Amino acid sequence: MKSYILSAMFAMAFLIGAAQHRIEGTVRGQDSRSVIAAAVINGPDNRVLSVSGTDGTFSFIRPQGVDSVLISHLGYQAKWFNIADVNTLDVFLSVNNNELEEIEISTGYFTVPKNRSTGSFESADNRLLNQAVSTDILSRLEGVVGSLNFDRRTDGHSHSLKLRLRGLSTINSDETPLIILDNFPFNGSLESINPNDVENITVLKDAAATSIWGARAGNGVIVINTKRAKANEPTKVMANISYRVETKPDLNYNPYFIRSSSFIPMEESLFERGFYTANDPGQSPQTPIVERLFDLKENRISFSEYETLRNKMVGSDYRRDIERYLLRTGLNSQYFVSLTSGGEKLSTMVSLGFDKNKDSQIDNEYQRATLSLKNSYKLNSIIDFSTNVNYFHSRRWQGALNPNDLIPRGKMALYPYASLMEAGFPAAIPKNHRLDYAYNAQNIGLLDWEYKPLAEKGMNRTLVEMPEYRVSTALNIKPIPAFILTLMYEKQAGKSNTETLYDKNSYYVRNEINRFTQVDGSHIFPQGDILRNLTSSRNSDFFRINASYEQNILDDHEISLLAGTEWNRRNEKIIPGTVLYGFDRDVGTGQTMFDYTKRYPTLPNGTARITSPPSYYNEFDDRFLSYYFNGAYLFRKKYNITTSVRKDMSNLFGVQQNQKGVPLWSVGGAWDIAKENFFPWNSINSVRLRATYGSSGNLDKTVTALTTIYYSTSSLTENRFARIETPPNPNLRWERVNTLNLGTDLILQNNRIRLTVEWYKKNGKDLMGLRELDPTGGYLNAYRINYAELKTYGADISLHAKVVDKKFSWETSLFASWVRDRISEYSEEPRPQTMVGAISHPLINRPRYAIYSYPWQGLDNAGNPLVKVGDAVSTDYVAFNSDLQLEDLIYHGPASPTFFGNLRNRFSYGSFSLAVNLRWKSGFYYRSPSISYGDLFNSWKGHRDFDNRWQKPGDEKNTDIPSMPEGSFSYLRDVVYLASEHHVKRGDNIRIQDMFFEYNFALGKRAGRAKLGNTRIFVHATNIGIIWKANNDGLDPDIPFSLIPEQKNISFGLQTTF
Amino acid sequence: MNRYLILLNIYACCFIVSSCSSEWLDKKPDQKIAMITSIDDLQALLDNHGVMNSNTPYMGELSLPYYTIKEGELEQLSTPDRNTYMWKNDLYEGYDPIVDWDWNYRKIFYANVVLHELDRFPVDDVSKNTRSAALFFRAWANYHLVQLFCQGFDRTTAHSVLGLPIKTTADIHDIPQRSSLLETYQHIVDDLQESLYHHVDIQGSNLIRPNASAIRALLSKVFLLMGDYEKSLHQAEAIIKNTNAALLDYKQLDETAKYPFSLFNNEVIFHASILPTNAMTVSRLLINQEFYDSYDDFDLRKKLFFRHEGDGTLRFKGSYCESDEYFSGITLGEIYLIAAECNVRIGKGDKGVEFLMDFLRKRYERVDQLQLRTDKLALLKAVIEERKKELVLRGLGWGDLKRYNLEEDLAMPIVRSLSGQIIEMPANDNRYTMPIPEKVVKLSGLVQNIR
Repeated sequence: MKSYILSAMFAMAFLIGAAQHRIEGTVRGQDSRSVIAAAVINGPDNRVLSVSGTDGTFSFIRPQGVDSVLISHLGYQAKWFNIADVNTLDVFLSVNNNELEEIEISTGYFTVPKNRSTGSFESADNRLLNQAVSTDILSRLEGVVGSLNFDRRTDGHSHSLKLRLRGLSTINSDETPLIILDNFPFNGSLESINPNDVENITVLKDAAATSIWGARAGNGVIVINTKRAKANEPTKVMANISYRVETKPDLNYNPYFIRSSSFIPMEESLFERGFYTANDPGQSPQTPIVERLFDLKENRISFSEYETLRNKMVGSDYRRDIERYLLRTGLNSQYFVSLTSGGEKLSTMVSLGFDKNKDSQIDNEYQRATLSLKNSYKLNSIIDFSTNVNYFHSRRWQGALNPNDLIPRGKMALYPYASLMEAGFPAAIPKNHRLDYAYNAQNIGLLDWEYKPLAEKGMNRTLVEMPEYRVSTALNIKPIPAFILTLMYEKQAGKSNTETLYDKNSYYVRNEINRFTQVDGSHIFPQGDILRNLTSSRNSDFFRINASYEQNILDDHEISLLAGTEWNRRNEKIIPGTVLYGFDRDVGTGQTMFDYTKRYPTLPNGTARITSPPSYYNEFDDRFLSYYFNGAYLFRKKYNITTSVRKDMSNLFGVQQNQKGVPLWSVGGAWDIAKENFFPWNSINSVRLRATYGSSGNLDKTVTALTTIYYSTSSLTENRFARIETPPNPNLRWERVNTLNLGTDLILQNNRIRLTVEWYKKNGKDLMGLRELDPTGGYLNAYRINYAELKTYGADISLHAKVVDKKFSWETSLFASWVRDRISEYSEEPRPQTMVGAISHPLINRPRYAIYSYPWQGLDNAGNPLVKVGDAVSTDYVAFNSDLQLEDLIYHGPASPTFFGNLRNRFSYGSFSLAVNLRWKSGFYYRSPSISYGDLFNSWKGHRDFDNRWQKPGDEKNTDIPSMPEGSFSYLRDVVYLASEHHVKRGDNIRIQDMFFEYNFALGKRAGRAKLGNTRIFVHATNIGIIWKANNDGLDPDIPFSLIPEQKNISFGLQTTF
Repeated sequence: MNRYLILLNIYACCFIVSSCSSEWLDKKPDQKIAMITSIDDLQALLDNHGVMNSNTPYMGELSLPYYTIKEGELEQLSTPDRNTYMWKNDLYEGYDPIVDWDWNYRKIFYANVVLHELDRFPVDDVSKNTRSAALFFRAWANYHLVQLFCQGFDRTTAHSVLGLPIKTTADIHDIPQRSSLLETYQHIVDDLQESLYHHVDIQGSNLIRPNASAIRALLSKVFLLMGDYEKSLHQAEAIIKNTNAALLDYKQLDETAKYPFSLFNNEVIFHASILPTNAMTVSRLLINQEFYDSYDDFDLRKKLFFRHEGDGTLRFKGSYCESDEYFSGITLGEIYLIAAECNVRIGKGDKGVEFLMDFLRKRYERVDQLQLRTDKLALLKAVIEERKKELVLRGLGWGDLKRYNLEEDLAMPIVRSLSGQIIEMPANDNRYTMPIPEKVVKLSGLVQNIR
């Protein structure tokens, strides 16, 4: 192999510039054999003669009198090489184990070492990303990259996630950062990226970083690069197997649960008062206790029979049944294999991954397969191209047996003493009707109408199937060494098909057939399965032409310039769905011809129309055209200036041609003081002071500058008519975010300690805000124009240190972020009643997301909450509500953390290493839930505070929880209590995010001898627990709306490379 | 050499590619939205009957003393509706939106957008007709707004009394201050005269689009409000002479039918309906016994307009919408009544009686028993009485009361029974004029009405 390389090298040397004394070669690592990019070749007087390219090759003309050169690269030991009699120089550098690895920043347009850029970046390399096990890639960033806040507070389901980079940059538009995958903006689903394929991730934080990507980068950019094969690399195979075990959700966490021993007396007391209706024609669900109370009242059962039943129920807890029958320990299995091989001309990488996740809820399962094929081919010294084919296919099954499916019609929770299994058989619970009614259905000629959850296992699963592919190709042309022209193209396409098959024996189908059974006994629906289907598809094209020029002039000046243009088109189609009744699985036939407009009489009462299939068709087509330029100039390796300019244009509808685009720009500078002659301290290797300022943008496609109209068809005249969708808005502008970033990078003791301190200020201008309009103008819809302003400022610190570096080593990383935002311009004043819900409306001079509350006056001597109207304290809730002003609200603080970060410590001894990651969030508030009597009486949703409520006069001194109201009461009594200030708690908490343990065979005594090459086994545990939190209400402040805590899980894996 | 050829090729490609970019950016991001690119688009906006034809104001009708809402049901009304019914001073108490204002200014906005965009298109019959229709709708909205939110028109004081903010631009931020009542009425008349001027009879007409009769009819109604009886009569007679509409003979209709009058029937000149509010549903807004008793037994309207409910209360069923929605468009019957009234007022009593009798023949079983006095005031009162009986729940009653109140001979207080007590509203009370919505006053500083 080596001889081929040598002879090829000679041949190349002859072809190109044989006349001059040109020296060429390749720089490689001694152990890994992989090429080293950006290695510096210095002459004896410190002149830079050349820098190796991304393929490790370099070339320079030997100056007169220079016989040797010093070749160095951060992370490797620098070495002198003799060049007196050679034409080629193939160099191997050995790794410098003392040093932390060099960090390369990838922006998606170019790659640059961190010490040659002025912008603000965070990065995570392969090693760090591999210290976690997960199906998706973004969750591996948590705790590994600073400044990213993972916000899971949205809707109580721990699987929904919002990423915030340096706070917020917009008020009403999309808040998510832009994701770049292998140099192209990524529009697919995030689950299609297999983390095992990822080489590194760079997060671009400031304007210098984001103005590169333009109008969609206002919220920050996350650049993901997948692994590629490098030229002249021996064939390597990597295999990775891991299993992740997830504990069953802890149902005891649910704060809304009331014990049966409290719930039943509550029902009995309501029954005394005549709260429950006896003969409801709609047969609305009732609890067994209430049913038996009616039986008792009508003398259908005796008192002792009631007592027996009651005692049994008091001891029941449906959580036990759910835990036993509907939950399981979740198991995720991940298998991955990849092969890379790099020849001189052709390098190839193939990878294949398969994931199978069994969720902790039964009947929920996820499978994913990814396939990736990457080739790069070097035609000659001028042209090389690469192709990239990725295919992803996923299937997600979702059963109909999650705890929410057990909640009866019209209620918010199931009564606590429900049981799912009786004497070894699935038991019935009320779903849409009273138990007795459902039980007797068969006696009146209907199908069995009982709902037995455990008999529904395996039925009615929804399958969401998503095939997706990404194909790209790039062509690099290098007519002269300093100049590269790149043409690249990518096509992404994907489809999503959602299908549910309702089994003919399932409750759903029996219910539909029964419901529509007519008085004469005839059925509207045939008996058989029901099939529901919906498809959407999307595809996008991206094309870029890029020219870059890099030159070293007189060795003191390094210039790099980049310019280009991009076209991007994204298209999404939603196709009308189908519903097939009487579906026959074997033959695949079904019926759809029903009268969807007719109102049929239904059982037990009322009328209804048959649900028609979703008939919405629409197509969305987003197009962008951009021009950009980046320039950087480095003088004597000390002084650095960078600039970038970009113009983005889009098919923003209804906008004049010249308004369709927005120019964005940034400038930056950096100065490495430590390289100055006057700098005294030698142990400090580098002190870079840097500053950037620039403008990024944000996009809101729902607003237009010209009048737009929307067509519909009239049922009165059969003509088409139109409505005005958006009024003329001639001053429409794109949202802008201007960011100023000041930072310092310190490198001490030969890279043992690296500290970065940054301060930034973001000014979001021309943000879309809701503006209150005078209706006399005639436009009555919500109106958005550019006028709102949001200011964000903060600081980030990141510290990496190798504290101990012997056989035992200890590495520590600390990320700390402060961030505060304030709305500086917004005119709409919301009603105060809307500020005490889950998400607050924007209010000027306050953070975008904040927590407000009503003042609390305590309870009166009957346990009723008191309110203050004017100077009087009373229980007049109506007057309080109608008199309420914004100034009456108490403002507590931000709802999003203002100070957060991670502390990661990694200890290694020989082959073993252990990492512990702590995460903290502080400086924010949340609203703790409590008992709502309206919800309890009408919908069975309670709260554990119920047990500590006021029960007798005098209790108002010890408790703030109101009494159970007597008689009818206003919903405002609940609101005044739930929105009160003493439910607002500080969310500060510190937790152990995860722990990682690894045994690496290659680092031990057996290194070098092992045929297995580099093999490691690892154990990873996440959500280990909260060490400390500011409040004691038993909730996790990071997910205050959730019914279950973050599930603990532990993974085991094996990875081998050979 | 090779390298330079490659470079050249690349430059050429860039050049070609960048020139196609402008059309490429013209694709619509969402298929269902459109820009205004043709006259059809403008006509489609005016054909939006949900915006343009429906939602004429209801607050005036709700204030009329002919109807009753049960005490217990008042709680279920919104604050403005309840206060309107109860003739309170502070109608809104901060409530928003006040739809009678908002939704009628929306009609003006649509009309202004159409008028503004029309300038882009060449002038032909279709564009003229569209312009005519837009002007009509603008006048139609202003006509309703001025009756509700301004005082009655008195020629001697109209120049010094407040009218409406006159909106003639499509700019939603341009909110003019209130003009004088005279200017407002003049603006409505100007719009209608221009509308008539541009109007062309073309194919594809239906009753939600204004035809020449509709434009003349509105002119006639406006002149009536202004006390310009000559001009009002001139228009009314022109309609009666030329229209394709014909008076429905009530003798031919079925009194047992749920809705005796069919939608778009022959008598309709222009179709419109009143804003449906839960305060005024047919089952809630009960007809007073006294009002019902004012109908003669031979009056066919007694049985065709009203029905008795099981509990003895009276409900309305005579809408020309053929449903529980109230018709507020223009019928030939109304034009006949205007012709009668105007003739009487200008001293041509005989002509007036002629029109009146032609009309009543279609409303009574027999007209021979009707005795009409000959003196002007008595005749006028008779016509007015017929107006009141004909135009039930048509959105016209309140405007009529306001204009009668400006005449000594006709001005009268009205009474309503509330919680067992009788409340009275004197003629020309400030409460005949509704307040401007508080949000409008706050945002644009418009002068508020005195209550």
